[in-house]
Amino acid sequence: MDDALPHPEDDSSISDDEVLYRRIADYGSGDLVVVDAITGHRRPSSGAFKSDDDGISVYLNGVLSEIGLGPNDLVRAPQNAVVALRATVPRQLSLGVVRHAWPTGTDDDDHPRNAAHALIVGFLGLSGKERRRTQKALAQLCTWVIDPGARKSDP
Amino acid sequence: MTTISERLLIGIATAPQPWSSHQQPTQFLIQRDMASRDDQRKIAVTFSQNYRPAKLDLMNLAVGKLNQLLQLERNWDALGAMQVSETAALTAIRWLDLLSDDETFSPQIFPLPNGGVQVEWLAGGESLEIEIGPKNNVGVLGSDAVGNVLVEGDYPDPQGSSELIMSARKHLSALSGAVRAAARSRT
Repeated sequence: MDDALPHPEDDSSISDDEVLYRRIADYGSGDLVVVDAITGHRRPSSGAFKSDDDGISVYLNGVLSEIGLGPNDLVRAPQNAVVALRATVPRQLSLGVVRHAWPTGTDDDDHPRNAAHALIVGFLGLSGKERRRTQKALAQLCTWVIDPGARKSDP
Repeated sequence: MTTISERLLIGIATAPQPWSSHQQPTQFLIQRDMASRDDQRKIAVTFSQNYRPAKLDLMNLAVGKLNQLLQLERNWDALGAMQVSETAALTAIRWLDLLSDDETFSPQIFPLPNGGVQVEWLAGGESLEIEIGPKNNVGVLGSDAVGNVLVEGDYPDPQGSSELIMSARKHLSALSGAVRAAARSRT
């Protein structure tokens, strides 16, 4: 993984150390978090890193900070979780990170957090096996920032 | 009624109905009402009498979860997700039946934004994932705790994928054994 080159679309103006936040969707009665049956460890399902046609939505911490926002401002519903990845992680998986500020067609186009919107790209050329391995690696390598389910399961 | 294999008989009915003796399912039977509204989308599964209790519990749990997911409206993730497809839900039942046995621990089942579902088992860092697309395309990925891939495949039809199924069964059986061993050590 260490020798992998980033995807050609990668934006090198985003540093490897930049923190990317990913909001993990919930569906009201459940979330996209898998719980280890032995350890109780929680991690996002790899399905939470399934790419749309244009990529995986993330938010750049550097831009959020400049406008006085943080990961709490990415939460849209009480059950939303937020995880973090350094930009170097998708790059080492041969993916890229590109700025995609102010996406249109969402139901929150005007929210200031959208200034920090970015995409993890590079899934389109992958085979099914490669895509699933990559999704799983992202799910395993991210770290929790906000995990409402963990609070709920606290003793 | 459609004979899927020698041991498996699946029927999809437009309404629940009694089955004549020669139509009794050898394994399970999927019945489905014609849904006139989105909130009526569901699958109903009738299991044969020779289905064993532990596996019956697992399958009923899965049917309940899948029916919950079938109730999700479009855009359930606020990012334009599709509704979970009934085809994907039915395929998930078929794969659960193919892979699980009396000692299999419960899977976790998630909706996918493309209308598919994902079935996952995670135990001690080892995992097995079954990704089912909205049109029945199935991908399998099983790995150990340090990420080595142990089982992997892309198949449109589980009936033509016996090697993948055998490998996935073996891996799932090992995961289930580890869960039982952990439970014993705790007690």
